[in-house]
Amino acid sequence: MTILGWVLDGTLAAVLLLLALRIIQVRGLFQAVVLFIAFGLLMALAWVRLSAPDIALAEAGIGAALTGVLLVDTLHYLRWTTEGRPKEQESPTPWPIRTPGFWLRLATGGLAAGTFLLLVLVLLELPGGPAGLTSVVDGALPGAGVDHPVTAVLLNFRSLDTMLELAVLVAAVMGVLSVMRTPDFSGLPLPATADGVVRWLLRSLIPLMVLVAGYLLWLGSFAPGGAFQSGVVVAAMGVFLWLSGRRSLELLPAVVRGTLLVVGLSAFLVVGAVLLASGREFLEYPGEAAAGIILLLELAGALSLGVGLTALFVALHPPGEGPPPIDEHP
Amino acid sequence: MTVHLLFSLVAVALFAVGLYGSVALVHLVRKIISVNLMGGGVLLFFIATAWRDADPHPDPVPHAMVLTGIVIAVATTAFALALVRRLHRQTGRVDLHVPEEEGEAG
Repeated sequence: MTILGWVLDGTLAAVLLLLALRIIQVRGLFQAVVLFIAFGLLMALAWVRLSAPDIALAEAGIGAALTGVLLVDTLHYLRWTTEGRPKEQESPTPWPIRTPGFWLRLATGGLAAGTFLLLVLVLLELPGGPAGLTSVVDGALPGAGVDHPVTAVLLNFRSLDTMLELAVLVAAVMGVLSVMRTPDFSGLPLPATADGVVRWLLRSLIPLMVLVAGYLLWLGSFAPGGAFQSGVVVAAMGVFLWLSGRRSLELLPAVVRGTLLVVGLSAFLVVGAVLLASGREFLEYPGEAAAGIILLLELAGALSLGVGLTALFVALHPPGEGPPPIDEHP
Repeated sequence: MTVHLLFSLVAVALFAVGLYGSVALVHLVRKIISVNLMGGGVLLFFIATAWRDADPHPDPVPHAMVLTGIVIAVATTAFALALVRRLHRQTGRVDLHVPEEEGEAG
């Protein structure tokens, strides 16, 4: 078992490194993006090996899938605006890299190698011994309101982090909207594809995704899962619906869309303000109400994450601009 | 050599590879991918460190921070891609080359 584990870990480590090097070297940008998606999935696998299933779920959903969709979509946009319309056959290297000068590459290589060596030296100097804050978290867990330590850290002990993360998401959506001059993140969905397979996938997957999102949210109180993973599934649903020409966010009135985007951040602020008014610290929950507060914050956070991540994608497409849908294959 | 050390070394190497790519590569989308590689290295290092004792019950605090970091990484990536699209719309370029200067500044 341990030998098998070592073989698996060693292979995983080697493939991760090779993929990263390949992503840097490969000539075609599209190949680099596809390799990056594969890299994200393998990274999720590495995190399962390191006993971090929560992170693996989020990485597979966000790091690989959502980032991948954003990158592929950007390549499609850049090629369309460069060449007017997509070519019949994709050329193997749509953007040949203008190679930087030899000296720049040498200097950068030296910088990277030096950083690597320095960090390895630091790594070997790191003290071993019992890891960090596990015992502190375990000690505080009985009064935290949830049984799963990661959820307890996210939504109770360090809930300020989660609040600010939702603030970053709102700010990023605002930034994308203003840079792209998109008036609203309702977006216009791509014209519906006539593809029967997509229609079938939509019909079968969307109900399943709703179910999975709800299940993950509920699961988070005692097992790997929670608001993040649930929000990611909601976002996947939004992007999938948008890409296949179905209406999702734009079915809602603009006020509701905006409210859903900020409801997570607002919930944290309101809970914090109420607690401050009742003489406690900001986001310091009273023990008996902690479970209820966490459930409320998780629900609001999952909604905001889902809508916000979808909005990041949709806001990149101002109405009346951008490429037509990728041609359906006959 | 432990599993923790193995993945920590990979994390450090990923950071170095991403650093090289983010400086030496010209295409802005490639720079964004490289920065994501660097970020992946940092996050992997956190998770490997949380698992230092090969305990089946690793430190939950780095885990929570990494979850937060993943969302922030995708948010900044989307914003960076929006900047690239806007630059391309305004100038038709996908790199930071200034057309007036004919030096190979790269």
